[in-house]
Amino acid sequence: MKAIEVENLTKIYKSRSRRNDIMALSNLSLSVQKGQIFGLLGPNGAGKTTFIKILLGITHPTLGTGSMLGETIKNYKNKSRVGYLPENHKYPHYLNAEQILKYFARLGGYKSNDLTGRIDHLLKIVNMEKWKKVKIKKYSKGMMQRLGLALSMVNEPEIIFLDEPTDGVDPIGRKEIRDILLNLKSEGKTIFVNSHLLSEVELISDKVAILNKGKLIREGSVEELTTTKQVYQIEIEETPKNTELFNNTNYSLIESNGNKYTFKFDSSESLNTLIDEIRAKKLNLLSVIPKKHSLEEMFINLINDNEKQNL
Amino acid sequence: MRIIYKLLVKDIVRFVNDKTALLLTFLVPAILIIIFGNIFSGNGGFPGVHVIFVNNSKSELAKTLETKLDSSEAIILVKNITDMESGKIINITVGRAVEEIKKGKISAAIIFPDDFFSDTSKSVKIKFFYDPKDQIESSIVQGSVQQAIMSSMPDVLPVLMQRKIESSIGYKKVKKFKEEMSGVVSEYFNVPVDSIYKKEDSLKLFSTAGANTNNFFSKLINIENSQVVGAEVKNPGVTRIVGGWAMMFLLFSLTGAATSLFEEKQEGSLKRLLCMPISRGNILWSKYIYSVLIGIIQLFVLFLFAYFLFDVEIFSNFFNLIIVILASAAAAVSFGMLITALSSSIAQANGIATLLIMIMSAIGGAWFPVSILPDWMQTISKLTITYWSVEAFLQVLWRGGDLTSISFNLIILVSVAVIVNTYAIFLFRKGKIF
Repeated sequence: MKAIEVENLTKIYKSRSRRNDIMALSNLSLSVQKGQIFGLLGPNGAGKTTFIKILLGITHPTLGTGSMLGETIKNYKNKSRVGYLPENHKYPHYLNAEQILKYFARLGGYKSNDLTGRIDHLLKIVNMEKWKKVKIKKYSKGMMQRLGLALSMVNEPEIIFLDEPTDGVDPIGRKEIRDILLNLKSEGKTIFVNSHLLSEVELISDKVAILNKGKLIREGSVEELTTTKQVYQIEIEETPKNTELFNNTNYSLIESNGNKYTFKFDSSESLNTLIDEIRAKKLNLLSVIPKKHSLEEMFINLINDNEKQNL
Repeated sequence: MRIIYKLLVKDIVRFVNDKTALLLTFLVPAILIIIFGNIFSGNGGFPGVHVIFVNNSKSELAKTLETKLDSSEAIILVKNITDMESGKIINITVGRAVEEIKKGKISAAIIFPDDFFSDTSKSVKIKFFYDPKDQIESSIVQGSVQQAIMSSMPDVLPVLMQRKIESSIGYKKVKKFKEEMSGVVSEYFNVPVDSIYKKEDSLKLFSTAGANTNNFFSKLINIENSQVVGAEVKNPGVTRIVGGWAMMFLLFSLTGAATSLFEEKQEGSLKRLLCMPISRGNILWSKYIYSVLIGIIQLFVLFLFAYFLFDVEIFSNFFNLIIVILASAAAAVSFGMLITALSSSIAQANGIATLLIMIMSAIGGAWFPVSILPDWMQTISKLTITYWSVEAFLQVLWRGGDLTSISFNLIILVSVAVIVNTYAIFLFRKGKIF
């Protein structure tokens, strides 16, 4: 079942002269399955925040439609099923964590009688139980982020939107947040993460979409996106005496490092041809590993390619 | 020196690019100078204060004086009125004049009674009914009446003075004195007694009057002043102005409350609210109600101060005062909401609000009575919520007016609140806040 689905979503920020209109999103169509951790990536100004704002009803699309949990995004009452951790969020400094959580729980329509128990539970999850009665003005940035995470969960939402969730959090805190998100996933929650920290996204996301200049340029699982098609690393026990076997019209050597050779193949048959050649030469084949990029490498390459195409 | 020059350029560029600073530095003072200049320079076409005039006297002197008053630039005589029931234009009676003043429709009435001046009168009798709700206005009217009377005096003064002396020392003694004096003058200048009789009469008597002019004139011109409204008000000065100033500060504070939406946006708390299961309408209406409540509390505290410090009576007509406070606060907040909806930043909103509040206060009657403004400004003043609010406060605090007497003001203020706020909420959907 789809938790989020948008079709042909377009957002134009209009200015006085049409020439200066900004196309923040252009015909964006994508979907997020229930129970997934979905990562939305893109450079600054790609349209990520606009996309979240549209889904949450903070701004309206110029064109296109969207739905969350089977309800149109125009239905504001549906937001009781959604949690949100905004980027650089601020709360009234004269309140403490408990007061903030209580206020937003009630505003969000949380109906359980045991709100205090729920708040204690959430503060424990984000490791903030000792700060329950301390005024927010004394919180560090990392603590604010933890409180924001607790707030996004206070109504027991089915979808949680997280905008830069690990921003300002130390490495141990990041690990804790990752664990919280994975735990939420195991409870069947859908998590939508918007982050610049690609390594974080790579570690937890089931599916990733990449936006550039308001357009969706790539979508898929982390595995699919990081695996480079037709590029394999082949490890041979001994260095071949001549490298003639590496010269073939169906494949080419990209990189060599000791006994490890990276090839790019035209097709999977070409890979088999090379393996046959190696065996024919009586060389001992140790491993054949499909070559993977990190999400960050893939992202940078993809954005650069996209920029070149747009030139 | 070069560094100072660079820093100076930086400040100038910053100032030029700050539209709000430009607005407050140049436009606000310029507009206020235009308003004040038009009022006090006399070039703006001061229309004169409207005053009811009833002439029940058949004497020639009354007609002369009426002509003098008619030609006065400071006052405009209202001699007839359209009857609301019959739709006909009718002459105003004394009773009707008093009634109109009590209702606050006009601030003064000059009455020439039947016994204004007769063949045997020793003084001129004038009745002056007035409502000193505006000190400036009252002074203008009284000054104009006195000026008109005094300029007519050369025609009537000798007669009045002669009658006064005759009543004091007796006709025979006066006659004897005049005959003897005429004889002496006749002999000395060698002219007939009959030709100097009148001249001697007036000259002699005028010189006598010079000893104590004010006291003497007051006995000759009997102006019966009657304050129709506000006589029982303990502190007229503060009671007159408290509504106007309260309204000005209310507009400032409530516009600030409405523009706080921009601050909430900058803080991110607005974004947080928008992603909750609540509508934009919920957010805006809650902001509206909050601002109205703040306005009510602010006005109430201000009036309490006036009560304790200056004896301004607020509890004798408390219910109606609260109604006016409520309507004024509702209208003032709608103004703030509209400014916020039309602006793209808090700086812009504050700049526009300051400009408009100053203008509304100046021409709406918060600083001085609307009646002293030029005609065109008086017309514009009725487009301001300050005007309707200040008038309602005066009606309640000064006249002790009931709900009926302020009903029209309330209808205007509540209509402004509803229409402007609904429009503002419509604009918010398209504006920069959300």
